[in-house]
Amino acid sequence: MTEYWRLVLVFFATVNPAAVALAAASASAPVASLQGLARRAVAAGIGVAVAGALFVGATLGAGRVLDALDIAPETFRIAAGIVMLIVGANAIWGGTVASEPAPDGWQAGVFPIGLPLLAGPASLIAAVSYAVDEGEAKTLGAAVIPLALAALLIVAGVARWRPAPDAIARLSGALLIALACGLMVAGVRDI
Amino acid sequence: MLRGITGTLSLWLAGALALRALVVPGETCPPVSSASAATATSEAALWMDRALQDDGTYLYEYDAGKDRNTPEYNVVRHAGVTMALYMLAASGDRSGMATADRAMTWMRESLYSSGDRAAFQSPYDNSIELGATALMLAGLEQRRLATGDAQYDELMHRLARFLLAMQQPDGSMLSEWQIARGAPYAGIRSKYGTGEAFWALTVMHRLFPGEGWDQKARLTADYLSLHRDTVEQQKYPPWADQWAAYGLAEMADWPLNDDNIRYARSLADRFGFLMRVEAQRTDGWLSELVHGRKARAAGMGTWVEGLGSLWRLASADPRMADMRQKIGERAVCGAGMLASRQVSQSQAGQYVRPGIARGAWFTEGVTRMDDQQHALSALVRIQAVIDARNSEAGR
Repeated sequence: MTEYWRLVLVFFATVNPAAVALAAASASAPVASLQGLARRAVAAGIGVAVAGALFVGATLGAGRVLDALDIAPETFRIAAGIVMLIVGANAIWGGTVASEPAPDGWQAGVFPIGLPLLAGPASLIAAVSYAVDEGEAKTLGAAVIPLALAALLIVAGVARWRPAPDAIARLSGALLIALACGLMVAGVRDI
Repeated sequence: MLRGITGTLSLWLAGALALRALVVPGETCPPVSSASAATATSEAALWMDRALQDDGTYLYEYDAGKDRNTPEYNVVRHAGVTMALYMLAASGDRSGMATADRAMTWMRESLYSSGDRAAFQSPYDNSIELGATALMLAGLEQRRLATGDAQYDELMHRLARFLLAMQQPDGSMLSEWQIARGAPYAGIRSKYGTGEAFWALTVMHRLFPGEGWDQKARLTADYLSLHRDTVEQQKYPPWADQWAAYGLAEMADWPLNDDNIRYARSLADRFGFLMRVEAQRTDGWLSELVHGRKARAAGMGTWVEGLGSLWRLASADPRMADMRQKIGERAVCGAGMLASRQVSQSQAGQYVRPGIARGAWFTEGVTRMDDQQHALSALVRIQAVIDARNSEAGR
C-alpha cells in the first residue's frame, strides 16, 4: 500500500463516514426528517465546506501549532494516538459518533455535520500530525476521499439500512484503534 | 447552533488541556552555545580537579543536604571520570591533563598482569572487571590522541589483549576475571562493559591500524547489533548504550555493515525518545507524578554522548543521513539541559561546601562523580554538533 492510500485509510477511520451518516440521520428530526434529496445535499455540502475549511486550517497551521506548543512531531503522534484511540473506542461502543440535537435547515450543515461529525477531534488531530510528517498536500488530498464519501452517505440517507452502516462504523472504530496504537508506537520508537 | 458549537469546542478544549497537562507538556530546550558548552566542560573539569584526593581517587559522592561524602568507591567510574578528562584534552582543552594523569597513576599502580595481558584490578576487593580495564584503556587512548605521547603504547596493548581474553567467539564479552583460574567467569556479563570494551577496541584500530583490532571490534559490533538485547534479556530493546554508539561512530569510515546501521538507527531513536521525555519534565509535582523526576546527569549525559556519537556517524554514512538533523536537534537540546542544570559559581555559594557544589550536577541534593563524567563527555562530544549547526544555519 502506498503512503497516500495508507493516509486515505487513516482518514477513512478518523472521519468514519458510516458513523457520520448514521449520526446525521439520527441526530434530530430536522436532519433525520429531511424530506428531499436537495435538502440533504445542501446540508452535506455545507458540512463538507465547513469541515474542509477546518482541515485546511489544521494542515496548513500544523507546523505553527507544534511550534507554539513546543512539541516535537514524534511526541505529538502520541497525543494524536490517544485522541484517536478514544474516538475509535467510542465508535465501537456506539456504532456512531456523539452528537447533540441538530438545528433546523442549513444550520445543520454547520453543526453537527461540519463540526463535529465530519471534522471531529480524531480527524483534525490526525490532520495536524500527518501534515507535519507526510506533508500538507498529501494529507489534504487523503482527507478528501472520506469526506466526499461521508457526504454521499448523508445525501443518500442511511437510516433505512441501519444495520450495515452500523457494522461498518464499528469496524472503522476498530481500525481507528489499530491505527492509533501504531501511531503511538511510532511516537515512542522514533527519534 | 451556536450553543452546540460552543459546547463542542468547550469539551474539546477541556480534553486538549488535559492532554497537554498529562501527556504532552511542552519540550523545553534551554539554549546552548559553543561558548557556554565550553564553560560548562571547563567547570566540570575543575570539579574533578578539586574532587581528586591525595591518594589519587576522586570524591565519589556528596550529599549536599547532609553535607556528607559517601564512604564507598567504584573503580569503573574512576576510570570513566579519568577518561572524560582525557577526552576533554583530546578536544583541545588540556586543563584537566594533570588531574587525569594523577588518577591514571592510581590505576597503573593497581595492575593485574597475566602473560602479555594486563588489567586494572580494584585495590579494594581485588576484583577485575571488564569495564574498568576497558575505560582505563579508553582513557589512555584519548591521552594518546591528545598528546601523541607513546609512553603507554605497550600498556595499552596489554590492556587491549585482556579485553580480547574476555571476548567470546560470538563477539560478546564476559565481564569478570577469575584470578584463580586465569580465565573469565563464564556467563557473567555487564550491560555496560561490552560497549566500553567495543569502543576501546575500535580506537585501538585507529591508533594502531593493521594490527587486527578492527576484526575483533567488528565481531562485537555484530553481537551488539544482532544478539545482545536478546541474549542479555533487555526488557525494552535496544539498550540505550552510548558506548556502543561511540564505537559505531569510530567505525563510520570502515564502514559499518547494514546490521550495524540498523542498530545505530534504533539507538538514535531510543536516545531521541529519552531526550524528548526529559525535555518535558519539570520540577512541578504533576510532572514528577506523570513523567517522573528529572534524570540525573549521569543518565542524561549518556544520552547526549550517544546522540553526539550517532550524529558523527550520520554525518559520515549516507544510510544515516536522513536522521542527522533530528539527532542534532535532540543532542543540542540535551546539551542545553545539561548546561542549564550545572551548579554555577554564584549558585555554589548557597551550598555548605561551595567547592564541591560548583561545576557539579545534583539530583535530589546528591552528586556522584559519574554525573560530572557523563555530562563532561557529553558537552565535549556536542561541540562539533553545535558548531556544524551554527555553520549550516549561517549559510
